[in-house]
Amino acid sequence: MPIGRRLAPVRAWEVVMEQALSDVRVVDLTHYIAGPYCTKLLADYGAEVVKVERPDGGDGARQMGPFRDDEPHIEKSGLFLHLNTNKKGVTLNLKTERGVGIFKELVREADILVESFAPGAMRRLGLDYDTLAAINPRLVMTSISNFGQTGPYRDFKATELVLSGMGPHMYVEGEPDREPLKYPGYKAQYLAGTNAAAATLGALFGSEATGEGQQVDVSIMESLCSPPEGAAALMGYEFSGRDAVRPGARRAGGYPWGVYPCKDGFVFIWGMVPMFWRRTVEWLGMPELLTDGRFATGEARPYHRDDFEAIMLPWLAERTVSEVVRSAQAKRLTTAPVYTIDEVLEDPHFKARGFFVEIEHPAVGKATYPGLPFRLPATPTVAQRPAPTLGQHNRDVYGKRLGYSDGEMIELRREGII
Amino acid sequence: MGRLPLAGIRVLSHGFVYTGTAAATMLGDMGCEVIRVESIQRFPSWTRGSMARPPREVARHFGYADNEAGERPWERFYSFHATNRNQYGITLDLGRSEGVELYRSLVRISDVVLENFAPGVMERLGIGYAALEEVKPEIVMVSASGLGATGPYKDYSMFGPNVEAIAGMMALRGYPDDDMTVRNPAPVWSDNIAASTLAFAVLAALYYRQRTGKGQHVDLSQAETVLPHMGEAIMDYTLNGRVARPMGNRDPLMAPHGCYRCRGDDRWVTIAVPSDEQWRALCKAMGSPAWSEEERFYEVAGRLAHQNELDERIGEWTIERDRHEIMQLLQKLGVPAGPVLTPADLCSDPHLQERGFFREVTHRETGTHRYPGMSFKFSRTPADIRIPPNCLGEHNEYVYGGLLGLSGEEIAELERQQLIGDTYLPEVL
Repeated sequence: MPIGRRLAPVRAWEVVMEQALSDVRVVDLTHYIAGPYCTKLLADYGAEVVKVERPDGGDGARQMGPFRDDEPHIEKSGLFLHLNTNKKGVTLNLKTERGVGIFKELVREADILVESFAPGAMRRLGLDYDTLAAINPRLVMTSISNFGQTGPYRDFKATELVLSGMGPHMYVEGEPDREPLKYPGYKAQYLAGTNAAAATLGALFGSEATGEGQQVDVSIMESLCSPPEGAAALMGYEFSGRDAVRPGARRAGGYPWGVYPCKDGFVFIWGMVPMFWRRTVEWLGMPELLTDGRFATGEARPYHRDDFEAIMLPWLAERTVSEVVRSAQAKRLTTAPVYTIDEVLEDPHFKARGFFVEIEHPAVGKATYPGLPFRLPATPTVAQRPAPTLGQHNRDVYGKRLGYSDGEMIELRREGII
Repeated sequence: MGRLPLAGIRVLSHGFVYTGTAAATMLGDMGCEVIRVESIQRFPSWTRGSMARPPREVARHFGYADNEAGERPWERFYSFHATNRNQYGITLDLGRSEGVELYRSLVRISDVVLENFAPGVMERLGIGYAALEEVKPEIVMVSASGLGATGPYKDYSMFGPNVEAIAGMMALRGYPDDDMTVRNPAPVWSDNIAASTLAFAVLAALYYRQRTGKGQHVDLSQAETVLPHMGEAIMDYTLNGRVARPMGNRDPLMAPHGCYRCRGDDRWVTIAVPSDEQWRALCKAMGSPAWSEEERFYEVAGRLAHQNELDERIGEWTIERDRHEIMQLLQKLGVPAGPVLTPADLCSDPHLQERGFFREVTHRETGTHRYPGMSFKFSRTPADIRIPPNCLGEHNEYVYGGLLGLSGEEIAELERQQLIGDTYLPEVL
């Protein structure tokens, strides 16, 4: 049954151009990476996200680099600036009774609460789901944590490295004679944040249809074990009884497969399947390889990788990455340039699609940011707003929305609540 | 059990390999009625195996259920089972106008069309957005190709590793001391990102439609879903002009921070020390050896400067011990540490067991197995695997008969014409 039309009440308290999630109100009690990426997705597509930070220093990501000009400063963290675009920022001390009371006022009017404290912390603050659901029964409350809200690892401490090791990917990443390798950056946390955004929005459809919200428990470890790649690794074992191995870059089997040097950089070639051998040979302009005994059959080929590379590497060394990729793609041989970050920013394709965006921020000025992971043509992109400075929207939210007077806000500030 | 939040939303999925299939699965997990569209004329390579009927010696190495390809290998392939569930499966020959006509009837009763073919494939089949919009103006269509449907590289053929390469991720997947050619392109990470972002994109567009009644066509580039997950590296370049290099298992702010060999065959533990206090706790756990008391290790700056030495010393301690014991010992002291788990470890992991992560599912062709569950838990309307990974054309009768109202005779006629069926045609490789 297709869903029907629903006329949204106009409740934006600030006039903004209509976007996909324009009438969704989110209270954001997250910090570091996974939670803020979840709420960034909601904010970037138009939800009104109010990020609640501790008055003393705020989100821990503000203390993490890279900083503009390498100057550690809570308003100059590139990580924080990236993860918190389009949000409003308020400060609130939840260790005070008054602070908890104000928080409940925010939750009363929200559709969604996302939090990423250690499991149990919300309960200790008196802000567990049952308490909040009594105030706002249609609330979707998403809790993102390392291992989930239950289970024997629930209270374990983890960082990106520890989490990576406890999913199925790290063990097979790296060289067979060396230590397993974590993925670069904060991939596990970003992934969990993305899953959380999808699950949260999914749950919102339910709460809007029934008037009943629920809690969404997102575990970073389980994100690593879910479809596609994580689940495939586990299913491979379940079906075959064979555990994974770490094959390394020089894995046995078909080729070309891997990263190869060219005149001015590196190319990745995905050509290890038998079907692609003819394309490879045509691309190289070496039809004689088709009848060469070393390469002629799928059975013989895997034993002669070094011989093949002795032929291909000098050929690649005479050509630029762009020549190599263009000519290979013309033969439907799946190749790509292996870019470093500077090359990504300069690439004509991403430029033509207008992926990167410029955002101006009071402390760091104008800078280029990664843009939206997809654009919705029905709601043309409006200018992106920078991440909030600490407490930037206190007056907006506490004054305009909750109706606190200037005098009350001065008092709250004096008591260290905001 | 309550009604799942996305119940009543119907999705036609052309999910291919990992990204589209896993996104459709996530939508199915949350209650969408997903109809997976396949055909008996075309074998989807890498989705249901490498070939429809692989030679026996190939099949043995490829993760078929019980290491047997059997009579219907496409029903036994591990990654299909991992990434397809909670979807109905139909077949339809979209290469013939009768097939396209039937497809249009399906679009009329659906809310979403999701696909991750190369740009242009759907148009060539006559079911691009313009054609579907004519049939159903409010349809939401999301296309998730490697690089998007516009721009100079729109026709490039891309798999996950290619996406990672062009997005700057592959260059960072290495040890700090190796060179660019030592990059292991598998397992692929970009599919994970693209799949969940694709599911989110479908819901964002649906939410907009729910408010305004308007559909749209979203052109999603998998590479562009990966780039925001590399935000800190991109910002370091745009703010400071610094080009990120591989850090391996190290961290800019923490030391020690590494992966250490333990007792056993290729067994490892990770240890991360975020603070000086946790450093002292780690020293205590190691029995406070004399070297650990040295002043140059007291503070993080000194530890960062002497990481190689620290790693060697810690490795001498871990090699004597079991990785799980180390985790328990260090976690008791509040030091982040965990074993590096293999798929076999995870399949019997006590934490995942207690959380009920694995779901027991019985499949018509492969019997009963434990399947990885979801990355999220709903408290009021728990998600489960309601529909096992679909067999080819398994739900033709439900969809063509139950939903479109075709008679048994009409369905039999479709079968006779080979517009639908449950077995790849003999000539399909």
